[in-house]
Amino acid sequence: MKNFYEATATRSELTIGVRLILIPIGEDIPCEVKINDEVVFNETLSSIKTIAGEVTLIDPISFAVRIQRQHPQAVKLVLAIDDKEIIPKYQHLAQPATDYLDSNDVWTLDIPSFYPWYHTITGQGWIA
Amino acid sequence: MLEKTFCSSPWFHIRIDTAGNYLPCRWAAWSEINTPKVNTVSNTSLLGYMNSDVMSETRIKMLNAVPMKLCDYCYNDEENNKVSGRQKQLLKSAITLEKFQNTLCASPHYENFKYSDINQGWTNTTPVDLQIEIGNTCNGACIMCAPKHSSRLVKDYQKLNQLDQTLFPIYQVGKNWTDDERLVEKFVNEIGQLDNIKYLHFLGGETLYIKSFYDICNQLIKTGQSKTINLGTTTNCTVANADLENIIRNFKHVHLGLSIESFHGINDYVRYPGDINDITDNIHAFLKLREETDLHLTLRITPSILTIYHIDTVFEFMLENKITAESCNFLQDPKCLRIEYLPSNLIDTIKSKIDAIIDKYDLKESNQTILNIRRDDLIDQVIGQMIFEYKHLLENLVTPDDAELQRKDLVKFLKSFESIRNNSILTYLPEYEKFLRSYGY
Repeated sequence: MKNFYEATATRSELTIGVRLILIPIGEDIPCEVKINDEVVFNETLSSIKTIAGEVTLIDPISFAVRIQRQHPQAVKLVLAIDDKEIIPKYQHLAQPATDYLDSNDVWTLDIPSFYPWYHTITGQGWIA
Repeated sequence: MLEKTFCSSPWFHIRIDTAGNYLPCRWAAWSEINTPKVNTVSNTSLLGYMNSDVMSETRIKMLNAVPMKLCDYCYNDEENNKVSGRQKQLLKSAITLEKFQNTLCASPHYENFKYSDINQGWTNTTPVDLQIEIGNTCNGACIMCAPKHSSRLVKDYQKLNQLDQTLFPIYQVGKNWTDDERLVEKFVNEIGQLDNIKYLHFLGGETLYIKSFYDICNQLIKTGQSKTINLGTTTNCTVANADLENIIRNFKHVHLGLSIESFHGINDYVRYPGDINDITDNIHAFLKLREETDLHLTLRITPSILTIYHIDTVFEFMLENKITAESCNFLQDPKCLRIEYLPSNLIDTIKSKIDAIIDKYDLKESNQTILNIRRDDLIDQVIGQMIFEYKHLLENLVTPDDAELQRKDLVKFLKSFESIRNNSILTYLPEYEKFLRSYGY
């Protein structure tokens, strides 16, 4: 960027990468993934599945994962946003606070705007 | 390129110097500081200065990626791979250089930058972070300091100047703005009208020895504003009293920088007339208070040719007491006190002592740069990072061409001080005898 004006011109088009990895523990687990209320995956999980996509930089991001398991099936989650590890590192911010789904509840993670949120959760200090 | 020059500081920070002049930045280069100023505490309010010509122009230049002399220190630090003031201020806007475009565009301050971009540099923000320099009143007369920062040195320099006018120039030291109680009252009232003040950083002299420090803090405690303000200052550790403890307990968070060069008698010689035993006792009292309050402590070290020899005592204290140190800046002025004039055999001894610390505590070097070195969860990493920085700086020292001249000046400098203090460097640093004798000591 040569100047700030360029930032204003491109800001609304900027996106960041999202990479969600679903690791099944067991076979044939029905699984539905929504990103920002849009279903991006709805299949039976039998092997490791990577969901990669782009979301807008400045808007909130929401994740919802629902599985239909039978004991002892489970799904482990790994999430990175703009190449920053989010899950499992900050799993305490998800509902329920885990990276290991072993119930049929919906697992959710809501992020208001990624970078200010990331600044806060990584303890970078007060914002002026 | 915007990412090489942009800084968000002018949207939330103001500095007030000892004379009461407003400046745009606490890291401003000397050339900028010495420029005559128009806006002062007496003729301009804090809010008025935010939208002064100087600040508006500074913001316009920031937004248009125009390099400024004001920012030379930060450019220099970044060229030398050091964490700059700019990076620290950007972090307060949640902007990092690593992901500059994304973090700038996602910054909580983006709309404020945009407002200034379309309004000729004006801002709709109020000050959040103030550096307040309250005067040169000091109970210490450190040999590396200058009269403008120490009232005791003003008297010393009058005598020293008669011995050597080049080494000890007479400075014109102006009046401290905080000597005028009406101005202090006006200033506190202005802070009371700012609802978003988050950080006040006080500088002296010896801040804890200056009445206006307590006047300002106690007034903020009285109004209740202290509960939302982070307070920072630096002390020479000769003062620890109940008033200070009350301030620590009543502000949201207090950051105390502890100026010390060594946990060895050499500290007494350099930070005259301090007593390392009293100073260590006070530091331990602060450490105890840290356990009970939200007090953050760091050591502030500025190693010189005299104090670098026992730098290992500082590192050991840091490791034993879980306390970090800020500023890896070696002393630059007076020039003859710079570390690079030390002979190589003494540098080798220091390197060996640092290696011994690294071995003793099994320290490992990390290639991760830590921007916010005040994070309590990263104390061990920050200490380790600093020790390795010193190790590498010493390994890469190059003896300057003017070493012979500066070493002779060093002896003249020390002998001049000793003539008015009746002491001797060799009492504290017998290891330097051969070196100093060879240059006329």
